[in-house]
Amino acid sequence: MKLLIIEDEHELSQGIATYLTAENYLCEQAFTFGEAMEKVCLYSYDCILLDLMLPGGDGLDVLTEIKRQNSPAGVIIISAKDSLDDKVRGLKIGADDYLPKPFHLPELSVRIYALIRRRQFSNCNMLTINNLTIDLLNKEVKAKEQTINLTKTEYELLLFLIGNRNRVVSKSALAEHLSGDMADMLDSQNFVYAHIKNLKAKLVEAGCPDYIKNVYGTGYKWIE
Amino acid sequence: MKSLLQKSLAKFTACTVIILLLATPLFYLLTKHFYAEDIREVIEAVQSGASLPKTDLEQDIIAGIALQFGLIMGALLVSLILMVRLISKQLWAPFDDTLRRIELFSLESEKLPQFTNSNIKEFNRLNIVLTRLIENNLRSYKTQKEFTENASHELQTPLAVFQTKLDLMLQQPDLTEQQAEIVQSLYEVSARLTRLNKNLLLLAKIDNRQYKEMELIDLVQMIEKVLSLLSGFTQEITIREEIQVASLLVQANRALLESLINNLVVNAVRHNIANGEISIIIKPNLLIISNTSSEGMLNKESVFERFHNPSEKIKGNGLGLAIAKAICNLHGWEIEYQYKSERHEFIVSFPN
Repeated sequence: MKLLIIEDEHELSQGIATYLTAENYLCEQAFTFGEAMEKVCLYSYDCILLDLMLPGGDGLDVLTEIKRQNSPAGVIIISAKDSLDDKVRGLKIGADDYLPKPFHLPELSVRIYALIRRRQFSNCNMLTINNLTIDLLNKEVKAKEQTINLTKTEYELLLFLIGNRNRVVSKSALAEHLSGDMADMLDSQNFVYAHIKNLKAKLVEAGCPDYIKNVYGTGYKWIE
Repeated sequence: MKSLLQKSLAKFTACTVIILLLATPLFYLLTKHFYAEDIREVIEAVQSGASLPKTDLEQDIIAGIALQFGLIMGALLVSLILMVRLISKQLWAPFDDTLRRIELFSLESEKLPQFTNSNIKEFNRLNIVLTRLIENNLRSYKTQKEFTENASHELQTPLAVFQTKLDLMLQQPDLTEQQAEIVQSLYEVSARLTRLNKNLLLLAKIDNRQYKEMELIDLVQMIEKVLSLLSGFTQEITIREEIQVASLLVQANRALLESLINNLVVNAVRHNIANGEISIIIKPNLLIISNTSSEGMLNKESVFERFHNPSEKIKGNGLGLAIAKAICNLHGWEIEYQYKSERHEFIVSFPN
């Protein structure tokens, strides 16, 4: 899987690249409008992360160019300007997703994962991992043919962990993913802990080994 | 263009001339009938050879002079009053106009008042100075507003770098428990910074009137949605809902209405006590959110101020209620704080 990261802040771009490379994506970086246009025109990618404020030009023009070429790449806008106008314009031109800065890397990762799945395996809605089969269309989880009844939150939690399998996902990232705005307003520690506990219990009950490892209470990791 | 003094002297002179002309018939009448009529009687009597009439000349002269004096003074007084009234009304009309426009001016509307040109030097100067003053104020108001917004935007990227590095740090295979604890506390700092920045940005954007899309939203539905999100956070707190209407439709910006409810509800959770209670009441055109708390009555005026945090233990960032107030102001709703039977109560009323 080939990714292009268009972002002018070197540190941020590097951080994203490091995280995603470890997930076996091939990452290329562009730091300016010119570089971005050049790469977009010359090569093809599976997914493009696009910052809107670039030195030398407007990120939305890059997006227009990508769409003009009928590129198969999915585009996720990552923007510091959390403005509704930009979001609406971006999605209208044909971006697939919009992630305002600052974001958690696991969140970015699951969005890329979901996007690539949607675009390239559009008729395959079954996900198999370890002993689990997940029907993404019907939101159903099975372990060895036995259906596990999960609440909406537990299901989201499971997908998020699986989307970041073998990586440590912080409690903050989990809380934000599960409850958005509420998470950073209230104490989310117990909230995440309670849901993880329930999910674990249900998986164990269905006969799965303990896939979710607690990392010193700071984060959780799905072990494949 | 003339100065105020010149202009008023000219008007005064013109008025005096007109009054003098108008007063002429009066003086003619006065002279004809009330001037020395006794002497005339004496002269007439002498000429016709009749006996002299009995008159007291001294008293007559005094009475005549007094009458004249009274009449002249009366006429003068009345004309003076009329003159002064007329002249000042006319002369000060442009000043009055300017005053009215300043009274209507508000910095938030960001509209420069258009003063009418007058032909009096001082008033024109006043208008020019006022225009310049207001222009400067508007400019610095705008710069200040934009500054907050730009600063918040600029902070997003370093915050993103910070958070990204923490996410990477957590992936280190040989992370020790102590290091993990440090990472965790940095996550909390990062979350606080992000929240503060988001709130400042939200306030700046409300001030800059960037939320223009309004739609008809059912408040009852929205409350249900917020409460379902909240359910994971309020294990020990009872939430009592009392919804007296089937639906409460309000014209609002969706993101802002959501933020208003979130802020009020989260506030009620945050300042609650263990095993406390939150009650949410919806009446026609009224939303009341109240909660139990260990804190006493808050100041009704300052509770909505930015960074006003009365409690020792800082739980929020001191912007939640300021945001709620700003959102209400923008939509033309009223928000009020009350303290009733040891409960903090926030009442939002939506006028029809």
